[in-house]
Amino acid sequence: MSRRPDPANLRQQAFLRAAAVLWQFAPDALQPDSDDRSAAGEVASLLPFVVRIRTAGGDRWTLRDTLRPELLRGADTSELARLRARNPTTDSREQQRVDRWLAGPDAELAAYDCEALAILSRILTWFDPVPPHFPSIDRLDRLRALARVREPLLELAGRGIRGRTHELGQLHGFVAGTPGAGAPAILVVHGIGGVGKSTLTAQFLLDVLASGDPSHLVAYLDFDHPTLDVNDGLTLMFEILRQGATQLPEHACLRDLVRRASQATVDLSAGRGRAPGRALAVRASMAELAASCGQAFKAAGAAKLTLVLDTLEEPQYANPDHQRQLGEQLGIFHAHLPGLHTIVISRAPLALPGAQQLELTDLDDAAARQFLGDHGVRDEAVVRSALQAARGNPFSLKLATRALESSAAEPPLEVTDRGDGAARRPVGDHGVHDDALVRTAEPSNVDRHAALEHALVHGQLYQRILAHVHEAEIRQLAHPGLVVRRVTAPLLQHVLAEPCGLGMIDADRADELFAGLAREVALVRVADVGALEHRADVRRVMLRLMYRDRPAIARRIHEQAADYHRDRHDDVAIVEEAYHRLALGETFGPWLVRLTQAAAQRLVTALDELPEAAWPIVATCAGIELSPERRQAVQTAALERDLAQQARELLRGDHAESALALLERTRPSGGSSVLWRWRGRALRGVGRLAEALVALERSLAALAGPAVEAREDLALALALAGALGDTDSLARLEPGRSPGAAAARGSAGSPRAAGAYPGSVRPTPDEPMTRAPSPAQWLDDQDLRAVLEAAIDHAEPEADAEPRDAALDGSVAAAPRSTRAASAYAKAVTLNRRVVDNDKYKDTGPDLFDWVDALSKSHRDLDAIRGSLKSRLSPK
Amino acid sequence: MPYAPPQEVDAFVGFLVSFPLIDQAFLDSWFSTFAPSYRSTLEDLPAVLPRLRAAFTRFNTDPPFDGGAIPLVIALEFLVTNQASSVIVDRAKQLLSHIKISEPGQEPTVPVVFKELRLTGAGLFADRDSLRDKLIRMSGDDGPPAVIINGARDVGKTYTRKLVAHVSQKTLAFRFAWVEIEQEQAATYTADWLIEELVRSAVPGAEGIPARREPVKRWLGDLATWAIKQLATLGSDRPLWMVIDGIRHPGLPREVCAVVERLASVVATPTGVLPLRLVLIDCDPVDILRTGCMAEEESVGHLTVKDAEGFLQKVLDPITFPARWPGVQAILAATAAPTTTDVCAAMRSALA
Repeated sequence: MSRRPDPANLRQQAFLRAAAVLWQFAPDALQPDSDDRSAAGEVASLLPFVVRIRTAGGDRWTLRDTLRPELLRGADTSELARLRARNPTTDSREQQRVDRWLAGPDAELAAYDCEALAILSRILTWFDPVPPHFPSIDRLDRLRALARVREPLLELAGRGIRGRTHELGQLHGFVAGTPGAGAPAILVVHGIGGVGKSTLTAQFLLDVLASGDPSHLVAYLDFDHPTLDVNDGLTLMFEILRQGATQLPEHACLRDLVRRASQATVDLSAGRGRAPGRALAVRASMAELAASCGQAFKAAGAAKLTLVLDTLEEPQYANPDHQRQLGEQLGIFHAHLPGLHTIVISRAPLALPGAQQLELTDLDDAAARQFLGDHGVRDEAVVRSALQAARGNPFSLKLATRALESSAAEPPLEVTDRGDGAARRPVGDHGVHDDALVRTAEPSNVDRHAALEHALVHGQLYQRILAHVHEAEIRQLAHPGLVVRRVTAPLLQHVLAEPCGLGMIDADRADELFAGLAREVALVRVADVGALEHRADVRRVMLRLMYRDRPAIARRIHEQAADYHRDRHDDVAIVEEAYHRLALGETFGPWLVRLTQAAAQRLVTALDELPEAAWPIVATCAGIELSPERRQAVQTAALERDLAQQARELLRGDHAESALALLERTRPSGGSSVLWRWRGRALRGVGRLAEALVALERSLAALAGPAVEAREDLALALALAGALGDTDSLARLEPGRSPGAAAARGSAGSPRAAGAYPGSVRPTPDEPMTRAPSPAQWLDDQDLRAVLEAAIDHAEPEADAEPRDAALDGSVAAAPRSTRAASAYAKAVTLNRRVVDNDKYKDTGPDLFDWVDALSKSHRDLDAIRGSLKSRLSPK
Repeated sequence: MPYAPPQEVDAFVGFLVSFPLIDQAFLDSWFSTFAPSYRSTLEDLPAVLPRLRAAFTRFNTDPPFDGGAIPLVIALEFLVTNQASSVIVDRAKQLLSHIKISEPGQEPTVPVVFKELRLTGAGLFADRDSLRDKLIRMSGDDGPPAVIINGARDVGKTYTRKLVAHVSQKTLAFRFAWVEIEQEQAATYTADWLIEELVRSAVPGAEGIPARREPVKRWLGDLATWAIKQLATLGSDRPLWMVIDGIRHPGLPREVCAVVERLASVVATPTGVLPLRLVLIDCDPVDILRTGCMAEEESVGHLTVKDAEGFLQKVLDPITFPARWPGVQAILAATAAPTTTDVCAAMRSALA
């Protein structure tokens, strides 16, 4: 509803002239082309002549383009500069581009991206006639079309790639080669999400485009885009044609073909296709279009076409028949398109006829270091830390650098004197500290590394892997269900469903979920009839992240899976039971007796997933030699166990300082080191609670170890997390307890299942071979009231009674008196949560839970807590 | 007839008057868009507030198409189309969405109203029989899920939105969300801008739009999902029509087109959560069709002398038409190739 300005209104004209050279302006900041400054509200008279533009700084106005030619007619560069000087402070990225072209041509035009070209296109409309230094509309159109081809590739390539020289060479070699007669040239590039498949291929295509060879066309098709359908080859063919025509803009035959194909598409959708059925019409049209396209490409001088099909897991998920259909489509393409070489990018390997395979794995150490260096990460300690956490996965490295950047930008770690001598970690810190970092304990390093770990869990695990899972329930199954290597519908029903938060399910539901999981080709592959195997490359990345994120549930699944397979006697069950037992740190038992050499050999590829203590067992049973590196690691683990034994004795004698001094002399060898457990307990003993929590979480994430000790670790970690107010830790340790955290992670774990701590852990050789009670038994066997009352008693600063809960005693007794209140309070929280899960207390539980939960924000008035709790527990 | 509740109107007026940019100049501009007959009732603009309140109050009680309803709708449309600020636009759209012309289930029906020539608050809508037919079919269960309207500049494509709004408001057969990308906005437009404006036109104050993230294609999916989730809060008892205008501007970032394609893809795959329809004004049909959304394209041209004649015959009585038609012919004969703008101006002269 724009009107024309009034030429007689000189004041309005002055505002309009000033606005005519501005890309946008803040309404209250615009100054007119006059020496009389703008008065308040005066600019409102421009309302009919402006359009609103949204910017990061809020709404801005921009003058309607149709008004500008008249306002700028006859203005030379000096006049334009004079007008511009009326509002010198108005600046933006777009305005800089405007200023550049108001002054004259820009030699960098050919390198403009889509955004810059769009800005220039708009500026062009401001003038009539257009000044001679502006490019013609035709040239702008051509530049824009080429930029559109480059744009997605530049986005993917980012700052370029590091390493991958060999892989890039393979791509060039593949495209340079001549396909055999009748055999289409297809290369499948596969690898886990984030390993850099698309980046590598985009860089390759950019290299091809940069070579400037007009006879070599490229086409990049991303199946994540809704316009592409593997079942509808016409959609693929049309996009190939469109991108090819864009690269050869001077050839009218291609433009004409695009126009005709567009019209045919519209006609077909309107039921004006020549064939009676749509599928038939599409098929016929596709072959026809491919033939026409091939002829047009040849006529335009194109001798080679490199076609990249990205994100093929999407059609693989949506269409079980994708492989055959893709094969058909490619067959037609290769029959018609000149010099076609197809590169297919997929998370899962894809067996297309005659296709070569290129598996992309992690970057090597040098390339990963270069990558980090490109992002400004050069400090050796930080580099090592990042490499240890992210390994060589480029996406993980990118997440790591971002986390490091953001943690560097944040204020230093808040060190609050809580009276417990511990540095307070920021809320939300998921940190499991790097061994070296814990030793130096520099707050900034600790903070930085914690941010790094947090970023990896949430970026790599949740966004890159789990976010690609299509259904919420399957996502729940994947995390932490990927703890098992092999899934069947019965195993899904009896082992995974409940820990994964799906509750009790029947066989039919298990079949449905199994079918849903089978479609997630990026996660699983079909092992044999009725069985799926989680992809090893995905597990390699996910396992360690899952252990950090869901240690208690991961452990529980291992235990239940081991028990499930124990009662079965086929080869698979024997191997899988052994796998789960070994993962839990068990080194002997009836399962070992039935582990044959053939069965053990099937565990060799899983050594990296198992603790060091398992390696010699597997090697001996499988009849293989461990590598020198592994032998060294086994020896180190044995030494650490000795050291841990010494620390344990010191702690039993209440010599926490000495135990810590002993442990700090030896750096834990890795994530699964047994030293984390004792480091955590020693740190707690000297009152360094935040660091103790970190170490205990690390210990839990390693999974291996006696059940009793693991249970104690969990109880202690929960108590510490409660005392420190670390809600993230609480949610991680007892997922499902925190609705917010569960929702954020796509997990709706059953509180009952998620909160129950395992009881069926097979102890290690130095522990008696007993079976721990189930969670329900555990609660039933104890006098809950007494436990709760004890917890409250310990909440009193003056309390000196011995704690009655063996599992939690350390959290109170070993802490300095001043910290007992906080620890005991956390204990009450923990106990209360157990109450909620127990049917026996179902009437008072939720009420009690609410009560304690409300108090979790502040535990200043412990007397009130005590009184209230005791009154609630007293017999009515 | 139930219209917008008086307290909402009062609150809106109070809000406008309290807004820093709502000064005399703004009100002058605003009132200049009112019909002369209505404007003449506003004798003294400095005393505008009481009169404004009076006008809005009258709007609540008068029957459709008379008195205050049209001025209010015009006023709100003016606010929206002039886009003085996001806040005002949101509030104006909110109030517009509350305007009810008739109750659900009552006559007139969708096909009847789609054929009407007078639109609520937006004047007249001439010709376009083929377009009207397509929209009527889209309102049925078996119709296409989307209609794409293309044509040369200034032929009147954007006016379709007002026709859709009119039918939505008058029949309550479907809900209506819309967004228009103007040429000046195109170069710096963003996908979240589009989605937010679209959603907020129907769900004012909708919050929590997903922040940009990598990879962008995933973020676009997030945006589409968020939009559907927000729009579904309105209820699934009626379909929701989304009108998106201006996707073909040169220089519009690819991500904006891509998010529209995502919406088209959602429209094409009914989930049962919310029945959706899509009206795309100025859009490449191939991009939409390739999403699997079986849209129908309507190409509109400039209104012609013949269109003007047919239209005036319908809206003027049998005595007036023969008297005024020669004047219209004379105006149009002076133009070699009359455009829609020319034809509309000539028709307005006959209706004045």
